Amino acid sequence: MNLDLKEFHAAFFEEAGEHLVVLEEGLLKLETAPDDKELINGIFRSAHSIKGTGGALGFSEIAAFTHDLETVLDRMRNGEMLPTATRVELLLRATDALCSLVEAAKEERPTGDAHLEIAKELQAQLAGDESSASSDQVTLFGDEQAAATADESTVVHGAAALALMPTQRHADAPPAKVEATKRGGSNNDSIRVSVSKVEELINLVGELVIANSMVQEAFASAQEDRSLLEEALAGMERTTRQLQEEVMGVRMMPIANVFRRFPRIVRDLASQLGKSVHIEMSGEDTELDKQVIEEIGDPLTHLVRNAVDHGLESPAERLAAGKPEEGRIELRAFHEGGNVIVEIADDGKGIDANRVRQKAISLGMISADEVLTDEQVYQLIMRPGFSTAEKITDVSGRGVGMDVVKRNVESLNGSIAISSTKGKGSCFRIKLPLTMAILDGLALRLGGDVYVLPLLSVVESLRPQPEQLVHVAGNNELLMVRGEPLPLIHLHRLFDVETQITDPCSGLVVIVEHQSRKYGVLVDELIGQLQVVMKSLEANYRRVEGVSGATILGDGRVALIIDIPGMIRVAFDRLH
Amino acid sequence: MPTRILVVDDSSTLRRMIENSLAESGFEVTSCASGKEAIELAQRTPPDVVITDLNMPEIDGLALTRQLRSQPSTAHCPILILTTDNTAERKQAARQAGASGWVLKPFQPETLIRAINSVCKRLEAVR
Repeated sequence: MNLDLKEFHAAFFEEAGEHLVVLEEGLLKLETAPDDKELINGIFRSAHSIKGTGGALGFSEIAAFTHDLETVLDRMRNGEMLPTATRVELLLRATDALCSLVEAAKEERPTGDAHLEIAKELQAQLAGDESSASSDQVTLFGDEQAAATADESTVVHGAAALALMPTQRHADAPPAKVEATKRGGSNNDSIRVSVSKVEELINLVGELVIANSMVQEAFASAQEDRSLLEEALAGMERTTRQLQEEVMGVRMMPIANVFRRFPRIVRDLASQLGKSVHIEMSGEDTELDKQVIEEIGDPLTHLVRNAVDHGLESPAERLAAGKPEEGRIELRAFHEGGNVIVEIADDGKGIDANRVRQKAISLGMISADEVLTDEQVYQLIMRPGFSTAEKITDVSGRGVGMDVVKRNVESLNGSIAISSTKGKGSCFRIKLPLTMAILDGLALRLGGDVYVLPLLSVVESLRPQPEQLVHVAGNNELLMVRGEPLPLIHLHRLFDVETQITDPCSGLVVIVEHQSRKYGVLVDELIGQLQVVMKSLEANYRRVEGVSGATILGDGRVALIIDIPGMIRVAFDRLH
Repeated sequence: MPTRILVVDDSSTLRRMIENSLAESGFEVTSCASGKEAIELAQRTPPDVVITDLNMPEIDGLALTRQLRSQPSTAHCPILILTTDNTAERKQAARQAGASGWVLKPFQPETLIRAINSVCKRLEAVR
């Protein structure tokens, strides 16, 4: 067999990643269910697959290390060794080490020595065991038979080969792998797509081809009868929209991909802090865009760590407060009106709004007489430079702060809201768009150009009456809406666009919400709602403050998509 | 059915030694002195495990391993290399040729038997 093994590497890394997840999840469950034979079997099979395929592809270090891991698991599987807490702990550390080995191989960098120590510990578990072959004298290589595993998992490169898939596999077969390109990421990334989705795409492309020829035919006879052409065009539009939806569906992944890391994180952190924590998750199969999934991991991890570290009290404090000793953290994901909501809730001590307020005043973030709702106060903790932790613990001291969490969420076109009851707990609620590639927008005219505002942030629009406008210091205005004063942003001034409409009363004001605050944005007129496909401005031009991207309109013109947080920042930087 | 082992070694002493110790443990052992004979024997009656020396005239242990791997009847058969050689390069070469394991000479019969049992068990696990 003269195979180019490189071809299988990407498939192996992806496969290994999945097996590592099974390993870790399984081991965590094993702690509470040490007698579950099926569970141990599953864990063993995953280790075995990594070893087999890794070995077959020449990753000898991975194979050798996994061999030790597998041998311990094999003993447990055969009932020759008990999955004690110490051993499970060791296996978890071994899983981590294996994970780094796989990462190193993936990035083609040398592996460290960290795994060797763990390998010794694993071997020590096996030492003295009767059925164990002495590791010095006998070297067992990775199963050559497992090379067959690599052959079985079919990797499809390019679209041409896709057409073969449905006939090769049944719909209920494991998902085929389709190469896909991630925005701004490495092109070697791949997405697993179920065969039925691929079939649906092929059907739709077929329909599109038919629709196209119908349009051509109708066009030929358009002189006599326009209705035929209109009908054909409508058909084509329908198919195109369906195809767009299906293609977007290919990028969707269940949020379980992110959630599954949390039981481990919570467990490790809780034992480090001497707390007892129960984590509950729901809605793991809620789907989000692959890019959103990839980028939401870090902010969520931070929030979960925060909840364990700061949110939950120590067991003693909990008992004193009349709560069960074991703290609860709940992770929920669900759909709500075209968005996905992810909530991280704890039943801890809650956020002390007063303390946050005092701290913000002492930091000069707000003035002492500023009236803020609790929700607005909570938002303060996500301002750069704010941290209520009196002492920096080992846990919270490292990594990102809440301001980074917020920025990350906002860069995904999402928003984050906090609710909290003192003594009862806090809930961080993250609202995320289903996908980042398509945006529901509100098109508006400004001078001769069209701009798009993300619909998610738009509250309402109105034509102001002169008495609603209040002039304040400088050249600034406030717009009074039902008694509430809103800062007014003149978009034409901000973007330096020439327009006839400079008087708010002859234009339209769109009210947008950002961080629980409302702002008025003066525009010439509204065009209407539309769905736009976001193109990166950075990739095609350069970064522009206040603009998150661009899109191409139906008539071929380019419209800029306004980045609301950026726009507000620019507007108020100019003020101060 | 007893596990059928094919032993390949150009030293008749060693062949006898292996034969005896394995037969005592209930294995059915066939042996031969060259890779060429081994391939013929394996074709006629595919063994459950092959144990081969590394350094042999004409067809050496690695070449034998590769040839056995290319035959459908022995493609999945566990092959153990029994040798005094302990260099990483040779082990790597054996691994690449498709060998299942490497046992160092001199050996205790128990060690060899454990290695045989391990590779058989692994094969079962795969099947």
